[in-house]
Amino acid sequence: MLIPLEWLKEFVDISVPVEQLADAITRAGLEVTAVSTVHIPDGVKVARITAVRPHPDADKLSLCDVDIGAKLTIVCGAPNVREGMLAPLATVGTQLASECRVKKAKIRGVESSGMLCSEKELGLSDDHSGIMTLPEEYAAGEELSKYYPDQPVIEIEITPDRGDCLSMLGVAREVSAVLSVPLKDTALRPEESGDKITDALKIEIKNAPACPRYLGRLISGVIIGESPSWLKHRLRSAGLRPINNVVDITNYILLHFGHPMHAFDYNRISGKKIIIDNARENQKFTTLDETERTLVADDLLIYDGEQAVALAGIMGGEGSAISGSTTDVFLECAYFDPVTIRKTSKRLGLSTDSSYRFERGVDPDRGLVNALDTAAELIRRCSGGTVATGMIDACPSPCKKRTVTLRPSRVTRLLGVEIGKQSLIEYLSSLGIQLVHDHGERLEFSIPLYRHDISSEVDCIEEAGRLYGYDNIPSADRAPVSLSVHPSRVEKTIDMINSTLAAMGFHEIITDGMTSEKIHAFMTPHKEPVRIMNPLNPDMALLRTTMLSGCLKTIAYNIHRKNSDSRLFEVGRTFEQKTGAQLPEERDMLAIILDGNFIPGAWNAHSLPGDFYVVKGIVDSLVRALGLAAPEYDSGASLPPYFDTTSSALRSTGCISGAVGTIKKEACALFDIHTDIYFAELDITGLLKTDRTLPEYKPLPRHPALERDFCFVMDESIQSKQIVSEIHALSPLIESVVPFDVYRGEKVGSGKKSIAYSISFRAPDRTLAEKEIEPLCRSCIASLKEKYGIELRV
Amino acid sequence: MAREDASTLENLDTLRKKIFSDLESATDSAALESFRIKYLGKKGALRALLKGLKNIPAERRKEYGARANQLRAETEQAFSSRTRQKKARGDQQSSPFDPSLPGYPFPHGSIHPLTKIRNEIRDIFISMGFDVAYGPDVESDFYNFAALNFPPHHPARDMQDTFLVSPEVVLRTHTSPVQIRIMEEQQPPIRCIMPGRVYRHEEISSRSYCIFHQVEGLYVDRDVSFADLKGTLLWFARRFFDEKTHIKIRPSFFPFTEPSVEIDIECFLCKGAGCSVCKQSGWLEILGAGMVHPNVLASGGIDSEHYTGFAFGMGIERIALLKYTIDDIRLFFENDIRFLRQF
Repeated sequence: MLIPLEWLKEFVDISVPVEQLADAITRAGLEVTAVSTVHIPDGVKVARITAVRPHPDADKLSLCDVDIGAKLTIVCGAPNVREGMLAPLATVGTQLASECRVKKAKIRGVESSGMLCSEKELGLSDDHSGIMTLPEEYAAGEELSKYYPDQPVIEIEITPDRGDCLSMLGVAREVSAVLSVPLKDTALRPEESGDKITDALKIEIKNAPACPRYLGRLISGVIIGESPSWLKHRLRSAGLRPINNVVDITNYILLHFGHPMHAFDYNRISGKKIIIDNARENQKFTTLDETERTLVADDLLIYDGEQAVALAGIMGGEGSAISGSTTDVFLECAYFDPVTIRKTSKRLGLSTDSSYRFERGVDPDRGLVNALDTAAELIRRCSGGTVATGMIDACPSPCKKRTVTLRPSRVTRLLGVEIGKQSLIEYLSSLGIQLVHDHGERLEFSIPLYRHDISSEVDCIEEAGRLYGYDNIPSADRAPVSLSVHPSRVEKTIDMINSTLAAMGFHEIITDGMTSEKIHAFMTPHKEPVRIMNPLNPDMALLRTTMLSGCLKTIAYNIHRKNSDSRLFEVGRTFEQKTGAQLPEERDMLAIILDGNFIPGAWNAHSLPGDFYVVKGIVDSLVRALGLAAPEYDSGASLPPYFDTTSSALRSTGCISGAVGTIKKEACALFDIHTDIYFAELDITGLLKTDRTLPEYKPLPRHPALERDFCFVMDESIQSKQIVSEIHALSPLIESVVPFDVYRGEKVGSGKKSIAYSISFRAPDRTLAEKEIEPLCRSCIASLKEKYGIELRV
Repeated sequence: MAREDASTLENLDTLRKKIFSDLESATDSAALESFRIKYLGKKGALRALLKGLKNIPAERRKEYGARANQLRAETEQAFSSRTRQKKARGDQQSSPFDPSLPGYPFPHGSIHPLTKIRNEIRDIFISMGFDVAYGPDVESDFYNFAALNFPPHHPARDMQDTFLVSPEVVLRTHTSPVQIRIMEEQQPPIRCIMPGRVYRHEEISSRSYCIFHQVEGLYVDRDVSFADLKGTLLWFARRFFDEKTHIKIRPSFFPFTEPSVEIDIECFLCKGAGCSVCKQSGWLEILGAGMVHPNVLASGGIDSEHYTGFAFGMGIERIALLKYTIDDIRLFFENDIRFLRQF
């Protein structure tokens, strides 16, 4: 909200520099986000346009003779330029805010000795529809800055609880409390004459909870026209554009007192009756912005004797609006229930300066009367009408002031500093919060009706605290120990995963976790995803059901930037909607993805291209680093549909489940990836919940091992782990069976493979002799042959 | 020479000395090749040695065999290392060694900058006795708003643009719902931080993203006061940014705390003098905090007459942007390897 300092000064005397003021109110709770100054540059003069002629060579341009003491000719393209008007002229050499210096220039063959300016060009507003019209009282030839002295404007961000600060008055109340200066009453009382308003209009409130109070005044015989320059100037300085004298005054009151008002053309109120009632379900109403709105029964409308004339507190209708021919004005100044207004405004997506303030709560008390009286008097002064005697004050359910009990001891306990009873009373009183009873340890305060945010003791503590100054509260220098109930084992496990994978060459990534229907349909059709009702875009319409989507997106991003050999991992959550549950199931997942080489080639090394076994090796090492046994692989188990045949599921343990393998070409193609992608996706939900077990210590062997190598030829259908477990089963003396070479080719024939194993034999209590292992070797060869038809290759 | 009698262990030692002196003097590739043929080739001395095993008396054969095998392995290793050296150094004995060629290309990875910042923050709070707790990303309206003292139709709800899953379920807009979940689980004393991902319905730009990460904190016990809030967060700021840093506290508004404040820290880049990062103000907005609202304690089943507490929250992305002077938040979620590698 823009607060011109000069306007604020109408309420409070401010003697401190504007920067100091800004700092003080920020520290007290209204955050000043900017302080700017509107400055009319030197060289901009008030110019009288004495003649306007068409440009000989351009339809849209005019030649203007202007008088600034000297007579000049100016080329101007504005549609509103006319003979006799006063307008700002930037003379040659003027440095405008837009960083352009005005030069003498030929425009379509005619020389222009300056530039007639719009408000935008002078930095006064965003209005660039034509040149600015200056008031007749300005003297031609004067510097414009004489009439527009430098004016600081403070920009304040007002939090949603402080609806009372959405006006000059509201900010002034804060300034008054912070600087300890009195607040001036700026309200006017109208000079009344003529008929009583109660004879002119009847008010009926049918929904009192939604409209606890409704005030109105009638001004007759007004002439709609331009507002006086002080008013236009004020509105512009706060960022509003002047329209006409009546509308401008309602806007002025909105900014001045924070009260939204609505002006009706009295002669278009049929039946001379105003009824405040709910809408009918599906009722249609066309608002001033020429949009037809469909209403529901909760919406509140203002009706006349025949039809709806305004959407209460939000926007008026077309039929009864002020127009150039309006002569009699009915001014509405009401208090509407914040929730009613907010519901309608939210549902229609229609937020106005008026609804914004009603939602946050306005002053249903004196403020309402002051706003209406001041508006009526200003309209009388600016438009020449007469104010009917009296005001309508329909107050079916008067708002009562709340009282709040405050215990000074509680203040000390919560803030950690003793403020003192007398100081507490003073701080609160400076904000209009009055002490009504002093019961010693309990103080009873009455809360002004404009402070909708104060309803309990702690709210009063905050008010006192912020005026005392949070910077004045000492910092406690203690850190009591707490007894942990959530040991951070989750953190330790994830730290271990991160550091292990980073050490193995993987980069941690963090992706947005959202994906599209299309990708979901391909990747995880068997899962019910979490769909977002209001997604940013279709590519982010649901939460991921697999980590793969984010990983592939990242790989694609890197490929397109010529980053090859991506080794990435991500720890994150996947989401699945389960029938009957309100919230989806969230799983903690680890994804590892590899594109291209695991180790790139170099002058002294061969590259190690990625494949299933590389990723499997990574997973095995990681799982062991986490203190668990290396996972087992279960090729029979079913895989998510994005893995191709060279993939395998992990045999699920309570800690980890998942799969390792190659991603299908079709899945990669969805992301425009055309290389081989190797991927592991592990569900670590169980792992994070598991306490780490102590490592099991085994004494180191004291006797040497014997090793023998064998090469077996077998059917492709036989898996290595079958051979390994078969050999292990032969004798406890067999310590390890490690494959060290695999061969396929003509030497073994098609449909066959040859795997070479190194078998290590060891006894815990003695050095094995050759002759002890020879029978073992023989039975190994025999049993493999018998069971699997495996031949020893020689 | 190749037929040299090496049938005794002593001879094996002699052979070893010979091999290593020959290797030492093999300075060009031709010499290395003849070394290889002489000792490691099919008809080389080491192969012959093993072939000659059958002539060794049975009782010594085993030990001899093992020693011979060991020598062969050592020789192979020394030869291959010598060959690699040659490759790096060039053929001429006199040509200088080039240490500037790159080392073996071991893959090296990285931990995401957001994780690094998160863990730095976490470790400071753990050192102060805080636990770490977690909650779901997808939350009910109750935990995300109602229990945190956001009335159903209050404009405070506009402070956080929300992704809806259903009218009653949202993607959490802050980590504060975890406060309620913790209070439901345990009675005070409660000291924990709650890091996690949050979602806001905001267009993606260099300044904002539709997801980001927060670290929430909660401390509830008897007689926890605003002075404790200040002390704890000042200590955090000094550990995290600069041991001499100052903080500035501004009143603010969050429905779930009262009083609510925002805490600015002195800009760590310019030490408060004013720079482009702090927009010349000398201060950086880092933290929102406040005393836990009695209604929130009540939502969590805690008696606010007996217990008081403070809560705070900070955005990890914002701190990471400031700390590393990164100018585009999207870099964190694009995961360009050239970016990740820098952390």
